[in-house]
Amino acid sequence: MKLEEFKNNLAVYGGNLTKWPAARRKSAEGLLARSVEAQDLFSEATSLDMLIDPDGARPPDDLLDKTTRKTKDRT
Amino acid sequence: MHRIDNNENPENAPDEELYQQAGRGDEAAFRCLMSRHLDKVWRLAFNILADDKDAEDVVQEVFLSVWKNSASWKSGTAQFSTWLYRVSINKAIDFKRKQGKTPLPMAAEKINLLQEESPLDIDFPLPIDILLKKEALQDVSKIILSLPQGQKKVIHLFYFEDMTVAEIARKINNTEVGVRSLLKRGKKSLREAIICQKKICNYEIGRI
Repeated sequence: MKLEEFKNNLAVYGGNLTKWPAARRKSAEGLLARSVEAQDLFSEATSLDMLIDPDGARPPDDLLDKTTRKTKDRT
Repeated sequence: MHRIDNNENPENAPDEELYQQAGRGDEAAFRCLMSRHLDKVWRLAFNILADDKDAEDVVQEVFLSVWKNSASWKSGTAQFSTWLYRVSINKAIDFKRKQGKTPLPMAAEKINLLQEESPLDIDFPLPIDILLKKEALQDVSKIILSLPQGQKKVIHLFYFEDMTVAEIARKINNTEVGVRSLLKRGKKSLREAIICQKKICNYEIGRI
C-alpha cells in the first residue's frame, strides 16, 4: 500500500484498523511498520476518532496505577 | 530549565520538561507524563491489536522503555508527543508480529515503500492532538449535528452504532462507494470545523 492510498483509507475508516477491509488492513500494518509519515497520519486519525467518539474504546481506569507499579518493579 | 519541586504542579510543565525531569528520576514528573498520554497510547495500540489486554501490555512496555531511557527522545527533532506516538505504534506492531498475528510485509510492498518520496505537509503538533490534550473542545457532537444530513447519518452509524460500511449502505439504501464518500466528506468537514474552532479559541500551539 502506498501512502496516498493509506491516507484515503484513513479518511474513510479512521484509525481503528478492525474497521478496515481485511486485505487493506494487513497492507496498512506493513506500511505503518516502515513509514513515519504513515505513523503520523495514523496518530492524527486516531485523535480525530477519539474526539468524535470520546466514549468509545478506552483503557481501564487503573492502568495508570498498574503501569506506575510495573515501572517501579522493573527498575 | 523548568524545575519541578514540591511546591509546583507538574501538570503545568510541557512534555519536554517533564521528560527531562523523569530522566533524572522524578517519579511525579513521569507519572504526569504518563497520565497525559496514556489514553492516546492505549488507543493507538488498541487500534492495531484489537485487544484490550494486549493494548495494556504495549502501554506498559512503551512507558517502561521511556522510563529506562531505552527509547530516548532528543530535543530538536519531533515534538515529544509525536515521537512517543511513533514509538507506541512501532511497539504495537512488534507485539503483533511476535504473537504471529500478522505476516511480515511482502517483498512487493517493500518495493512500493522504497518508491515513496512524498513527505507529508504536516505541521506539528497536530491541531487535533492539541485539542485532545487540552480537552478544549467541549462538545464535538454539536459540530457533528451541524453537518449535512447524509454525512451526519453515516458518521453516527459508523462511530456510535459501530456499523461497517456495507451495513450502513444496506441500512440507508445507498452504495458502499456512496457511504465511503459521505464518511470521508463528513470527517473532512469535521476536521476542518475542529481546526476552525481551535483558531477561534486561539489556543497557543507553543505552550503545548
